[in-house]
Amino acid sequence: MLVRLTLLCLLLLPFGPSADVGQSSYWVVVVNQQSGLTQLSQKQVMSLFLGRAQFLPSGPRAKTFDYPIGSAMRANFYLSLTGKNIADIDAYWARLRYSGRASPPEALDSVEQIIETVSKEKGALSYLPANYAKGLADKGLVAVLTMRSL
Amino acid sequence: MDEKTARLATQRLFRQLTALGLLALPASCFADEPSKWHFNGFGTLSYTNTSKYDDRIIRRNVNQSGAAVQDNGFLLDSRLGLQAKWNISDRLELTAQAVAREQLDTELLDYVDMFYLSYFIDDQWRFSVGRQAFDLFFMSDYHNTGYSYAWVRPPTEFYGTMPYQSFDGIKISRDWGDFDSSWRWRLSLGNIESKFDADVMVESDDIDSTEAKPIFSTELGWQSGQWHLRGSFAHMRFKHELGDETEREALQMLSDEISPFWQDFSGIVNEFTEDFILRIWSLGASWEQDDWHVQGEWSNVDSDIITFDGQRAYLQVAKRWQNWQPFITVGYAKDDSEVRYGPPPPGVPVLTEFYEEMVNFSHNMRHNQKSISLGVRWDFASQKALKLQCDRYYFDAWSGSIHGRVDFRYPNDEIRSWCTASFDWVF
Repeated sequence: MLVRLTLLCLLLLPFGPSADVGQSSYWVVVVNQQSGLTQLSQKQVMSLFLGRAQFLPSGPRAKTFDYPIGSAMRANFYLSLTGKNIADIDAYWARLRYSGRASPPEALDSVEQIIETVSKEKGALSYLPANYAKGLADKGLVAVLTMRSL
Repeated sequence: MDEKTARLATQRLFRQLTALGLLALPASCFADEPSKWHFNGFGTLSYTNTSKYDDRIIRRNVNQSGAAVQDNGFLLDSRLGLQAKWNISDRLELTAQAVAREQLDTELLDYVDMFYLSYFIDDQWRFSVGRQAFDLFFMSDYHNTGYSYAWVRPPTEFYGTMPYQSFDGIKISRDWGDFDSSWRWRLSLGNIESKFDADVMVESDDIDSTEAKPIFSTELGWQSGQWHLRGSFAHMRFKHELGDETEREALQMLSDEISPFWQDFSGIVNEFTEDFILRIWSLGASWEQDDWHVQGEWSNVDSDIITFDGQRAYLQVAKRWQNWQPFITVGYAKDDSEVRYGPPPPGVPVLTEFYEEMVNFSHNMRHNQKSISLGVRWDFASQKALKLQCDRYYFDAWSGSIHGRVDFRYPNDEIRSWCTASFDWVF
């Protein structure tokens, strides 16, 4: 038994955790300019990103966009937003996805893609690192919540 | 269980895993294509010291072959699941999910847990038709996805005795609420077929088939902040599979002959031949605050026959420290079922022997036991976790269990323990 357990652990060692971490000092939650929103509470943002609320307070159906699975930015944002380890968030979405109830936010590859996508969809919602906080209006975005990074 | 049977069971599992792997290929082929198709999956590779005892086995649920699991410690919890979702339109969605795992049902369709079409009537109401999860308890619809919970497997006292993974029928659901709280209500109607080893003996080849038709269940859930509460009720009409019409007629003739001098005999025959109703009530609560997670459920099983009548419950506490999450679970099952038929009149040894066997059978179907599980989950990489869990079971005398014995009698209390290591991932 012990030999088998040891072998199993050795086989899995190459999957060691990533060393990089999110660098942003705070996060800016952004929505499309046409959403009719100027601010959201942290509780509202949490409900939207966890799929518990389906609509923005102003009416449109919410569509959340996220960074790739495994990215340090994503892990830090959810820690800042919910206080939870990203593994708990991933487990939470696994519960929803494999029970057929809901799908997690769509993942996009870069900050630029996030900005472009949110600026095109009325109900879109996502988050940006601090160094992208300036000039949002020019990009068709509105910052609705600023949140300190943990 | 000989080596050949064990080898066949292993080959069967690996064939299923290979087939599912081939099915998954299109997922990677289309990964970069803009598509309304979504392919995802999950898996568990685990090993348990299932051959630790010669006379008692651990099983995940009654759908598993005890003999196969005892001879191959990888079969107990290992599984591979694939899900395909097609967003046909804003209002229409198709979901399919298949899971390769050790189970008694071995037809290809028996591995399909979900294949249903959903129509979103409006922002709150949804109508689904097809094969869907049977939502009786918290983890009923994601119990195969080991990555989604801390422990290696859902508590067996609670989840192991249900012989059904999913049902064929319709489901109506409504989700509503605001940013403070959300509600969910579901109504399911349909039928279920399944094979299970109710005899709970390691060497048993007495595999039972059941059909529950119709089944009805309803669930109400509420979620707010740290709390998630739910309650459900299920009503199922079971049909006994009792050979052909000739066998039924023979049994009826036997009943007609014996009942005049042993009146209870016809009642005993009815126990094993007539359709019966099974009712299950359940309540659950989950609380998550910071790094703590506490979850408990209670259910009451009640039926027209003597073999199902009791309560099950569990309580789990988990605490996360960074990527580590130790947990403890206590489980409980208590059946009140007592034989309500008197013995036959003296002087007919064959009937006395039959009666004793029937009493043994009834005891065998009870689940009077407690358990404690200790373990730890290590999230060592994104969407990958290693778990180690040890379970200690306390079996009461004159009570069966899904963790069956090699013989038919349970005269003494027993304490048994097993340990499991697992690797869970989603992709």
